[in-house]
Amino acid sequence: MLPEELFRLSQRFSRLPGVGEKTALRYAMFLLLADPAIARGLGQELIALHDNVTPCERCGYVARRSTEGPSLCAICSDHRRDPSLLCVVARVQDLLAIERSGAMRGRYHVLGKLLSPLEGVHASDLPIASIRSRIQNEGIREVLLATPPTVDGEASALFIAQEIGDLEVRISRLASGVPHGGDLEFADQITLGRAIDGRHQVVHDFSEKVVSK
Amino acid sequence: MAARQQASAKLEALEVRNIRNIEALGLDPSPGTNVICGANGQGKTSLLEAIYLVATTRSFRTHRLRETIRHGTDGGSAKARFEDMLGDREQVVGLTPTQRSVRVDGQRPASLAQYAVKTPVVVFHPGELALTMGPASGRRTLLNRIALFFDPTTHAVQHAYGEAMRARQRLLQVQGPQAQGLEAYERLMVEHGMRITRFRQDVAEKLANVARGVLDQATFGSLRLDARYVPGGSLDEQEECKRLVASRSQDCRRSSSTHGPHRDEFLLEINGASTRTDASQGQHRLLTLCLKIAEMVCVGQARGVNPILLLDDVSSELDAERTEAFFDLLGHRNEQVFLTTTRAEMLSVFERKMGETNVFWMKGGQIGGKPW
Repeated sequence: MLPEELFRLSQRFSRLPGVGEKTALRYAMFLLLADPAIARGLGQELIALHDNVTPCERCGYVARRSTEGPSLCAICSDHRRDPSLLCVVARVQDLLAIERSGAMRGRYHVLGKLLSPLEGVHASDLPIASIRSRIQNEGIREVLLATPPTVDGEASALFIAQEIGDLEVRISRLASGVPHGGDLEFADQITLGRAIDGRHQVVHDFSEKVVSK
Repeated sequence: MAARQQASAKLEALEVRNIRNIEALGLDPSPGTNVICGANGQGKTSLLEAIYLVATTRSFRTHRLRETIRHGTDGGSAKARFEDMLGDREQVVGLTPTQRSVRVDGQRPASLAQYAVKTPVVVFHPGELALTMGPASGRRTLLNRIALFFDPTTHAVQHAYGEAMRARQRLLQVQGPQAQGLEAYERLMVEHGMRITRFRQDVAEKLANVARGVLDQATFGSLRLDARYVPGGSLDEQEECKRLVASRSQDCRRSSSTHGPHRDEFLLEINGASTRTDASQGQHRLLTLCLKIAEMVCVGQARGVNPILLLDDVSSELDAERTEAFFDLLGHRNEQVFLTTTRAEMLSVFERKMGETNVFWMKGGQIGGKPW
């Protein structure tokens, strides 16, 4: 019923995350009926995307494709970053969330996936070798394992810790606790329980820093 | 018993739609004893099931909730107004073949586990004999159910344990005992497993104490119950890790691991002999009853409010004398009780034992007047 081009475009949109068939058709119709410059502009951006953007060769975040030398992302090529701290995350979205916090001064390593035998992701699929070589070659002194607090996230963190345990490096894990500015009464029981388990000692002499347990 | 003095949860009103053979039904029960009377297959148990469903989001007859939806309809629901010392609230459970939606006063609860402990309900039904005769899984379920009322996070712990174990089994099946990553999942199994062991041990002790007292009272001290929690894993973290590593090659051929809390047993012995193998039919009935009364008391202690009792057809296998003895053992409490029966002649026994009773006659999934 639809012209073939419109149908194919709509089918492609429906493959995007969170887009169903109706929304996909709506997008396709919009591009058809709105100013043709919008559709042409979008097409050019899409073609340019893979020509110019590529995963960072060092950490797996997004980088501009470079013709001379390795393609490094903005974080890896930023010399003000603390080279001794490496934060391991599961996905690029997790990296962006941590970046928004502004609390991470070091660099990252994006795993791209978590250990999940039930979904066919095994230990050999994790980039252990590249994490090891970064620790050995970049003067990294601490690895922060910032995988999510799910069974697969925890298992991946434990596995990576085990695989890099022989290197001289401090290994840490994200703390789990209550959200800032929130009321304790609204915190869920598991999070609150973990916050109590991971409590900090408060030093009342304010000339000293708060020391963790 | 301790639970006797505290307030009880009450069902004030119930609306059921398209559950089993009930098309549409409204019920205004009394706060005391409610008897649902009718012939076989008229929807008495389905009514209890609807009460259980709206209180717990589960059914006591099946694990597959879609089976509870009335044939030829695409969904069913149960809506109830409950009251306890915290005030009243409306709880709703809606079912479609693929989904279950729950609401408390129109709001979605934080988790199903939190919803399920809002209104405590204890059910006695004929299938319950498996508790003492059947496999250990039934007894583990009993411990888990009570633990949930003491600490709703126990549900998440069990879920995490199960996930870690399934991941380990898959690794063993696909890559064998040398697979990389096994240790990570084993450590998670041990971490969560230890918490399961601790809460089950705690609940088993409480349950055993009450059940022992009830059996002692019922048999004038002639039957002594010994109920012990026997963990399926080690109580020591290091030891348990070692045992998991050692059993890897053996576990490759199994669907679950050889060690761990999924193999826990709650061992029941009467006068030193295992009930599973040695008890008589009568002793099984008596012991099941003692365990259910103990469940009721423990849940009451945990929640600080007595649970609603659902008694499905308890008099079907008992003669009048034994039925009286059953109610003596149950004790006359201020719990709200719903009981079903096919035998109108038992009404006088119920009335004598449970005080004033409110009788509902049920026919073809409807509440109506006395049919005979």
